[in-house]
Amino acid sequence: MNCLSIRRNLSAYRDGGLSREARWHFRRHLKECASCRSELESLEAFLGDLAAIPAPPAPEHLWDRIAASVDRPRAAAPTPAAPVVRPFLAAAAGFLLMASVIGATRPSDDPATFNLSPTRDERVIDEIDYDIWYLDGRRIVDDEPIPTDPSIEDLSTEREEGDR
Amino acid sequence: MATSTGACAVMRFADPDRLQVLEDIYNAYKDKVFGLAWKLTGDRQEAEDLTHDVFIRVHEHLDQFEGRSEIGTWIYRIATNLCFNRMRRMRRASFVEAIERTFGLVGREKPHDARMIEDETRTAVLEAVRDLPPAFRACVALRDLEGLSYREISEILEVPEGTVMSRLARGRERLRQKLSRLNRAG
Repeated sequence: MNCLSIRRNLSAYRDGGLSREARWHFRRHLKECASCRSELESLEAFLGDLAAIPAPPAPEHLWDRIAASVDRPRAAAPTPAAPVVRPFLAAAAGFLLMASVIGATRPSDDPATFNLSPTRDERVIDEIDYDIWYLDGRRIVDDEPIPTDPSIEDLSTEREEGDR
Repeated sequence: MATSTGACAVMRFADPDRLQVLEDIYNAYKDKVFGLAWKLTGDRQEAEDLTHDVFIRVHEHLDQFEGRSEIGTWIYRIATNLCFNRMRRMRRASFVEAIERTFGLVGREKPHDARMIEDETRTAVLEAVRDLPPAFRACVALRDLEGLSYREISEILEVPEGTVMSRLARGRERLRQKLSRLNRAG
């Protein structure tokens, strides 16, 4: 395993997201490579800073606002007014029609329709990116026996329990 | 992520007093939802409006919650989707202004003490997170700001765990590069 492969998968290693054997190879590399160790430490420090960013609590009055919205019956649709034909109304109607056509092509606000699914390109990149699952052209299987080397410290064990 | 309060609330969702059920859920998740919205939008008022909308959706759709995932995951999914839809509509100019308003930096001179430097650093970090493409931003926010697991993020965004992993790696890398550029420039 070379430094490039290590760097590309450092984030997943840090989160305990790799197979047991991949982790073993990682640890072996990290034991020998000061530069990758330093990269891991820098990632740890960076993510520690991110996690430490505090957020303010929800405002006290917010529940009253929500409760009021829930209690309030939905407003009935307004009864359409009797049509008054004026020239500027015709222009406004044309504008609204155009706006509705444009609006129809925009993404919906409905959470159910919001899509963060992987794109086709992303699926291809994922396969290429995750070469850590493949070493020497063969796929790493999770239950393959791992050579024991007690001198290699497991840097990711603590997180693995809680994270995945 | 699920809390006992949340679980209780789901078990009681047929309760005639739906408002009480909603209040239980609200009390269990209000700070998480508000915090996520604030970190993603940088604007307290936007975060408040979004939190309001999230719990209104929860109230409206609670009957449809099937319990196949934790209720917290379901609520995060609603919150994430509403935040991203809202942010898509925010223009860049008003976005920066909102961040400055949130952190009280409008019209401020260069920082004089550690607290102000800390605030500015935090602003730069959150702004860099908000600048990430939505797919990366969602993963970084949920994992690194909210501390959710890969499995939870995968359920919230409805993408495979491998995709979460790769988006996180790329999102983190972009973030670090951007922040190191800012550090060098500063």
